[in-house]
Amino acid sequence: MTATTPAAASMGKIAKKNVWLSRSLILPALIFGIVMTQIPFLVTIYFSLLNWNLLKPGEIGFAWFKNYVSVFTTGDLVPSIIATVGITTSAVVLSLLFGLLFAILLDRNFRGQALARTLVITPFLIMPAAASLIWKYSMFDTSIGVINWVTSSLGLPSIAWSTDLPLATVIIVLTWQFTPFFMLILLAGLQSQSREVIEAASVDGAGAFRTFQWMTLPHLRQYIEISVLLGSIMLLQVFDPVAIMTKGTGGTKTLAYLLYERAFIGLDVGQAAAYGVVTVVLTLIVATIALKTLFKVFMAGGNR
Amino acid sequence: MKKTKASLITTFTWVLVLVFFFPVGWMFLNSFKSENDAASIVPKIFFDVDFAGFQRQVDAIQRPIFVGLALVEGLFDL
Repeated sequence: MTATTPAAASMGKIAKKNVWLSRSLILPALIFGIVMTQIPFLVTIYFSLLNWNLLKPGEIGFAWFKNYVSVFTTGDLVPSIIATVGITTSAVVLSLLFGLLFAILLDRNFRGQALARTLVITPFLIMPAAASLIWKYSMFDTSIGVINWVTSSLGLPSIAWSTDLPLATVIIVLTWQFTPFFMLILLAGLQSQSREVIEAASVDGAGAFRTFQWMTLPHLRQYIEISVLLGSIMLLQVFDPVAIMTKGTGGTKTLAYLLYERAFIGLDVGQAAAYGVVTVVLTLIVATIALKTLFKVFMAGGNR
Repeated sequence: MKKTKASLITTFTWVLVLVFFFPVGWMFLNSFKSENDAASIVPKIFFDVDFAGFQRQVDAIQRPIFVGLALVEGLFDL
């Protein structure tokens, strides 16, 4: 044990006081954060224990775990999880591929490069609901949609996209919307690559494909991992294209839409809240794993 | 040879970018069309410009803006 001088002890006291002062200064923001995020969640847990159907206002009462039992026994949960995972995975993979293609093409120097980059980014900037509406009416509609006009001019049969191919429709719209996000991250990765190394490779006689495979792709690895993780977190909550284009038909009923359906079409507040709680728990598990992986990626990135 | 290849890649890039951007561009064009032109079966690239859509939006947001202004004015009067 080391002896402390009186001066050092008083310094420690002041430091302690400062710590408490700085902590108390954070308090308003902390309280605001807790009120805005935690209280609604607690209220949701309370609602999930109630037997509360909006059509039967006289019969509100405690149902305890009846709602949770029905969540796991009605058989809506598993197809919904499958739909969410399927849509998220395919949209992430396709967005990654298109994003990589665009990043490579837009990394070159050419006429109007800045304009081309801006045009490619726009789908990510417009509102998800607006994007879904554009695709539903202007693109995919059987009579006034541009895509069906093109296919019918080519002599192909017209397709009722959102009813015949609901899953593909949602995935196409999501891919279109999220490709710019992947493109931005991968473009940043490409631009951080040193030109000298690439030049050296070309001097040594490596072709474009071999340079890409052995130099660019390993360099992009951490950027790909980060974009996939962030993209998956954003795509897990997808709601707009499902609600606007397919209404959850044809295997597109994601967890977010299922919850909405129970609350605002089924008018069963208790059951919707139970779905919400289950979704939060599932998302927490996925997010914890994802963030741990992300952390590992950052650590590895620092050591590289 | 190298120049031809580069310009080919540039053309390919631009075609891809324009196809990708097309839905947003089409929405922009549609915003200046009348209801009938926007919903025509054969897509119209040339059309009579019509600001009715914008007019409706401006009319719809007018009242809340004035409510907001009145609130701000009230605050400054205190």
